[in-house]
Amino acid sequence: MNNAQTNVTPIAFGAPNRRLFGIYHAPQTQPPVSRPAVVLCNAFGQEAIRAHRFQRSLAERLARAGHAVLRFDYFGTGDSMGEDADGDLDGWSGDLLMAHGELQHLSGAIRVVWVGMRLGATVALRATHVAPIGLSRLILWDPILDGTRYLEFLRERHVTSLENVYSLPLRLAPREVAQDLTCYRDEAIGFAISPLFRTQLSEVSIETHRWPTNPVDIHVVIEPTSPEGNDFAQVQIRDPDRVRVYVVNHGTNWTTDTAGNTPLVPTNALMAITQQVGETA
Amino acid sequence: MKETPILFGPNASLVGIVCEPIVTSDIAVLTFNAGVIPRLGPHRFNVKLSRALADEGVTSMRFDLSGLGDSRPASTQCDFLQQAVVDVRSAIDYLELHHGVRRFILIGNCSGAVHAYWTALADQRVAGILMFDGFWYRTRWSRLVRHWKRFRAGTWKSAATAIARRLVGSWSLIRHEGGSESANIFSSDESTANPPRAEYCHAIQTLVDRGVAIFLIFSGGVIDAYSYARQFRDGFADEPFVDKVRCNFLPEIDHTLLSLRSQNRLIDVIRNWILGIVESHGMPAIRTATDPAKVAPT
Repeated sequence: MNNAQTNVTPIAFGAPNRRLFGIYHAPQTQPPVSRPAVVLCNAFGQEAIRAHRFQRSLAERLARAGHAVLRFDYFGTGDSMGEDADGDLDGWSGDLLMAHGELQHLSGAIRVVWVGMRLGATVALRATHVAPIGLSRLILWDPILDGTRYLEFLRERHVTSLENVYSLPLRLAPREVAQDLTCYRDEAIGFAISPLFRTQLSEVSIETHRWPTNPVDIHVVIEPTSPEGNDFAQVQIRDPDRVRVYVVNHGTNWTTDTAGNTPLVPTNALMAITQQVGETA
Repeated sequence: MKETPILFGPNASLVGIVCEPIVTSDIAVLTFNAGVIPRLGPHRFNVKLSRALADEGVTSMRFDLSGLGDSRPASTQCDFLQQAVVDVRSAIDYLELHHGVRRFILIGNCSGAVHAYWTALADQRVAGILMFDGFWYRTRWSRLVRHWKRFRAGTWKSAATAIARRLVGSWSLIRHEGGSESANIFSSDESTANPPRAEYCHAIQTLVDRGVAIFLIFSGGVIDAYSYARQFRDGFADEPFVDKVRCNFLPEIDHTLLSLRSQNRLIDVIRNWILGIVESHGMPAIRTATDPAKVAPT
């Protein structure tokens, strides 16, 4: 059953030992030409918590424009089965393909657009190697293209957060503990990181990056002054004709625990992504 | 264990997940939002807690209050606090109707603790509330202990800086702290401020008289509000309920449960407390979890 006002339905799908949780937004209008359905690929860990409101807003906006939308949690994340440490990039790529098929089944749509945020964009890129039927466009927002630096970024943010969340300084200062590079490797800002996941992330590199041949249409929303923007500039030149760039200075702090001075739903990013999905109609 | 996503409440506007063990007791646990964090809880804590409880035979439901997470805004005229009580009671109604549960434990984290408190006062089916970093009341020792702990934890340089800052801004700080009993550090919104002390005492006594198990936990992230283990006992030493309310000060746990160690420690504490309630209510694990095919969302 769904919520009649928004046509929103919480669903569980996937194999019995890998049940995934999702929210399906049925299209609220029936445009004369059927519009592609949209799968939202979430970010990782605390970034995914931060992105929740954005995803909901984006999904509602797209549903109002006549798109069927599925947002879902990868295995070991959100409400899906599995523990934090069960998460890995290959498994999540498979989850995305499962969500793709589920959305086609629920909506009847043939064409599907994937919108990936942060590590969700990386998962989407990885999953394209299977060339799912009907994938018509990739929209990537601040994709993680350098996994090693991303791991170090998460570690640094974890240390900073540890310093901030206690009223009194910890007996062993996190910043000093972090001098030992073997510390704070198996968790990041409240979420476990398995050795397999760490290894897979370490292998994500701009040196080995190749744009997928399917789909032909790849759009990237990027903040050029960010580290991800710099990475992207290096890989875009490998296929400048197929990869279109949208510069959006959104100023989102993806990892913070507080709401201070950072947007939860940056309007310019919301509008840019909505517009790019709309172009596919 | 089985988890079922549901829509419930008026107009099916609320989104939740029911987490059922294979064999369950007749008591269920409810968790919901802390601030604007979705029903997952801070760093997915509510999910981890639900599954740990399912392993012990306890049913739980995590859900989003109106307007938060995946739930739609309410269509009532209630203010936020009133609506939260309505929403929690809707979740209770759902579990009672569809899963046959009669008694409920509410786990409230930060602002969620406020909702647990008000719902317990409004609904006789609530058998227990856990308030994690919820309402707090200082004693004459609170500030002294806090200063001492800060001094002991700091370096000479940080102590000198603090003293200098203190001297410069002493008057404004004193005025600020003087009114602190009626202001909640976690919110500038007066509607979620600590109730007046007399009102709080009356409410807690009412709940205790009703047999509601009350557990207060204060973390190492709120030492400005709660600075030492006996603060609750010292503050309410003359109240009849003081020995009936469990209060733990856990400085090793942080307010947002950032570290996995904090999460695991709190899960252990909560699990043991809940199992104690299940035992004290004489509710052995006897009921078979509902067949998922028969639990259609309302």
